[in-house]
Amino acid sequence: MSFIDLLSLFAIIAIWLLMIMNVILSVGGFLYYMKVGKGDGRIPLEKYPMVSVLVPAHNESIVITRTVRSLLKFHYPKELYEIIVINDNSSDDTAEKLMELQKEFPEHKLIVINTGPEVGGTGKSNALNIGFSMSRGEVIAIYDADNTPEPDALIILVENLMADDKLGAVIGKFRTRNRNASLLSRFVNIETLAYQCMNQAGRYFFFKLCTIPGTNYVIRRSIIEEIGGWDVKALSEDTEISFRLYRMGYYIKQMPLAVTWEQEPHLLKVWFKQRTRWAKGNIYVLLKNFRYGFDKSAGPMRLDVFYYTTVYVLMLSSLIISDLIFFSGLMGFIHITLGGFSSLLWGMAILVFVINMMLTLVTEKNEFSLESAILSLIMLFTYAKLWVFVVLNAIRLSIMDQVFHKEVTWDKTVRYVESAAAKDDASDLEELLDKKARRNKHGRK
Amino acid sequence: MSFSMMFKGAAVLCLFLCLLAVVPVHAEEEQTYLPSGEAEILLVHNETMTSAEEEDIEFISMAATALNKSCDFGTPQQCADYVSKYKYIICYNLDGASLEFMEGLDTSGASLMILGSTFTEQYLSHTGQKSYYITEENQGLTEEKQNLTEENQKLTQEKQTLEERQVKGKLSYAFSEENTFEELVEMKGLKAFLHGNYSSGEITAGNETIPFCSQVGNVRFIPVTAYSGKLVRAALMQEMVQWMWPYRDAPPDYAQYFVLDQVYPFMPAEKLKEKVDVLIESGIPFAISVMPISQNTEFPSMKQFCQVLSYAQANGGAVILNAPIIHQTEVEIDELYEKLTDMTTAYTNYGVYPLGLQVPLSWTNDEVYLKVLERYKTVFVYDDGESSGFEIDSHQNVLFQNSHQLILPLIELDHTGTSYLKCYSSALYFNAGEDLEVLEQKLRNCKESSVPFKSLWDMNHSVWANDFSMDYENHTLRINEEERVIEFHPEEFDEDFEYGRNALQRITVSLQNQNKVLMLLVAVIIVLFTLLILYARKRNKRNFFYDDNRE
Repeated sequence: MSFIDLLSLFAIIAIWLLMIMNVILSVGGFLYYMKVGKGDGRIPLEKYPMVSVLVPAHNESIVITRTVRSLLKFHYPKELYEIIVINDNSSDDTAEKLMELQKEFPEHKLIVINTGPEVGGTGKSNALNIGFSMSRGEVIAIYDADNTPEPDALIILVENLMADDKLGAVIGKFRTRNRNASLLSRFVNIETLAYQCMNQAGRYFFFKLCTIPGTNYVIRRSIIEEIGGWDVKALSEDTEISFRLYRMGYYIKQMPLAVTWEQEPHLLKVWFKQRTRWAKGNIYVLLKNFRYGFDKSAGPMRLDVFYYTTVYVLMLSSLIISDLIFFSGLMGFIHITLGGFSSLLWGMAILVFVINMMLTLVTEKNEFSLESAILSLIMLFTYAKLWVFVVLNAIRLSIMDQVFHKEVTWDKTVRYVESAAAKDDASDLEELLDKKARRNKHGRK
Repeated sequence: MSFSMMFKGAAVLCLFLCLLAVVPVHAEEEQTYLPSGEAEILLVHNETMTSAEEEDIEFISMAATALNKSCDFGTPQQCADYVSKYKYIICYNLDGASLEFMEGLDTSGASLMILGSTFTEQYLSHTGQKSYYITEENQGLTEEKQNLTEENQKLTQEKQTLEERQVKGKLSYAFSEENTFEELVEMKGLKAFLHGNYSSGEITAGNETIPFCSQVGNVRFIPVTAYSGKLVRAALMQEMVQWMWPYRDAPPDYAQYFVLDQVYPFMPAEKLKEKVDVLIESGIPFAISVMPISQNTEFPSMKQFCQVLSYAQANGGAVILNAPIIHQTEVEIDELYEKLTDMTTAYTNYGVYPLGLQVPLSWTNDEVYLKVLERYKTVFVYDDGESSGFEIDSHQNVLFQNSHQLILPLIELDHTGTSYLKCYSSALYFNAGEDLEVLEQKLRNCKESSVPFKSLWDMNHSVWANDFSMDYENHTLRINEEERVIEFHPEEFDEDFEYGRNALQRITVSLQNQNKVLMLLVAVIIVLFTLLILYARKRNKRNFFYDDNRE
């Protein structure tokens, strides 16, 4: 058996292991969605806690107005929640836009913290720490500056959190507001639903294990105080805080009925930058927490260490190896003598990938279609390959940061004015929200 | 047509295709073979039989195969319509038969051999040959019976033993002047008939002695009804050959093949070479039946082993491959093909060329194994003591249908395990684990048996596997159309061999077996996910459209 055979064998085993893992998580996620979907996600409380909604914003002039307006529409007692927007060293007119909103809604507790270069501009974690220091809420809710949460998102999250003392945080689901903006945003939409929502739901269903996605979540104030705020070195502060939370003995719940809509990158350059930041952050968290993978006291978090390791090590290496072998084979540079593996095996893997995607999409309105199936297939050969480059770039940058002792900076995702297509999405969203409101009025069947 | 409608159609089609892939489709009913007159021999037996009788049918069917004859077997009822189409008919221990069958038999013109006296009597009576009964009336002989021997005259003086009872007698049978053997045999009633000018062997019970086989009227008659003994089996085969041989002279002799059996690849090479040297020295052509191997073929011990085999080949010995031992109840034919290909190439890569396959008896009655055997022209059969899987309902000697060069186990007639039967190609298997002295003694016995031995190199052979073919024709060996020369070159062996280096190959082999498991897994995933999708679609419709209707 040659070295190439060995690599090929490794790639095949790794890909099938990941595939089976995903299938299992999808089934779990699907069952969880169906279970949750039977109700409305609400657990009425005798007493509702004070909630501080933190919104870190760095040059978010384009989206901030819409975000704040939707936050102001929360179906939560007005006097029991405050919105704290941390305008973090913005050089655009975010501050002016926020001031206008403050004037327009004087009856709401809308607090704006404007930071300069002395204290701000070093990242989301730092901005959240600043906002947290000003907050009063027993429960902290986090929303990104480009979010449009549904009105009942906050109350669902808070009610679920307060109903169980063992819960450290409750996360909602996020959807792509601008899915029709470009082919890339369509891919992002499918990826979000399949890998960020469905997999989360599967992990929660089987292991009561979730990772905070960075937005649309609530967390107990006491926990943030105990851990001393957000880790400013972590670019992926959400993953970092999830690991810390599990080490403390809490768990995180996913509540898919608490939905927020967010703007996803529709340009490759922006997407690449955002995903590189995520990947860098995840690599940091993984390296920092890897030892807990072998520590019994870490509880179910060990599974998360395993999960991230398989995603970043197995998936990356197997994709690179299989692609290199495939193209080198096509060019006639290498020849595999490994027997027993037919193209049928690869065909089956593709089939499983697509049907897995379709199972995810069927749980959402207007997502399940032949078009989506074709997109999933195209995605496998295009978008999935880009992920490899993202991770490789993140590894390169992480190494460079270590070598040159570079400080962590916030590579902010560039926002843009939504196009006609995106506006169609927005009107779809409005219609959906309207329909939900009517459903709530009439009661569920 | 909307996208949604299109999708529904596609989903249903996918589900249907998946189901088709998972559920085996039996497009046509399995055809049961029944005797229809296409074989050369028809073997007729009773409808209800004991297991011992079924074993006899199996043996006679196998004997027909050994004698290169196609054979159908069935009850008189099953064969009545086609009885006239057979050239040779053997009626085994029949208690009786329908009129239709009797008439068919009478008019068929086939050569008839009847085993057991009950049916012989009925047949003679039905066909107007009662004169062959030994009765008081027959004492005044007619003209026709002037030719009868004095022995027959004597028999007529004795009381007729007509009652139906199990009788044991001593069979005495000679394969040559020097080789006469004796054995107890069983008969249903000791009945004698006046016989013509052919008789062979003797059976003595009490004071009576009758021929083992004789010509009674137009019937070749053998009174024995149980064929479990070695001598009676050998004698029956000998008589069958004689009966079917159309000429006056004796039928031709078939050779015997000396097979050094159960030779394992990792047995000490020196010990194997000692035995090979003895065989070469004896001058008796021999074959070495090697156990299959597909893993660790690069080990030095394998190389040494193949060196000895190569040395044997260069000195007139041939190599055959022993079939792999399979413990699974259901065998996947593709897997077996693949294994046999690997096992064959494992040897040919070292210049060792297995010319045939050695299989247990059970392979000769199994549909899957028979399919595998189609790839081998030369097939050695051995009795491993396990159930042969013979089915009386198969109604034919299926092994014959493959047109092999069949070499069946010899029938050991003395304590040395020597056979004196020359009527079919037989194999003398000698366990390679036996001592050298035992081998030498065996070779001496073989030389004395007067049975000719033949080298496999004097016959044509062919083997083909998945991507491999081997032909030996007119003393030229070709592998994948490429000519090979049988020669021996001593080689050095790697002293510092790293034995762990083949672990990955073993993993690969085990992964290859997982392909089917994966396919099944994928099919299950697709069916499960399709069901979940259909459920979710139904649920979505209810949830998403409910409010609009209420509005």
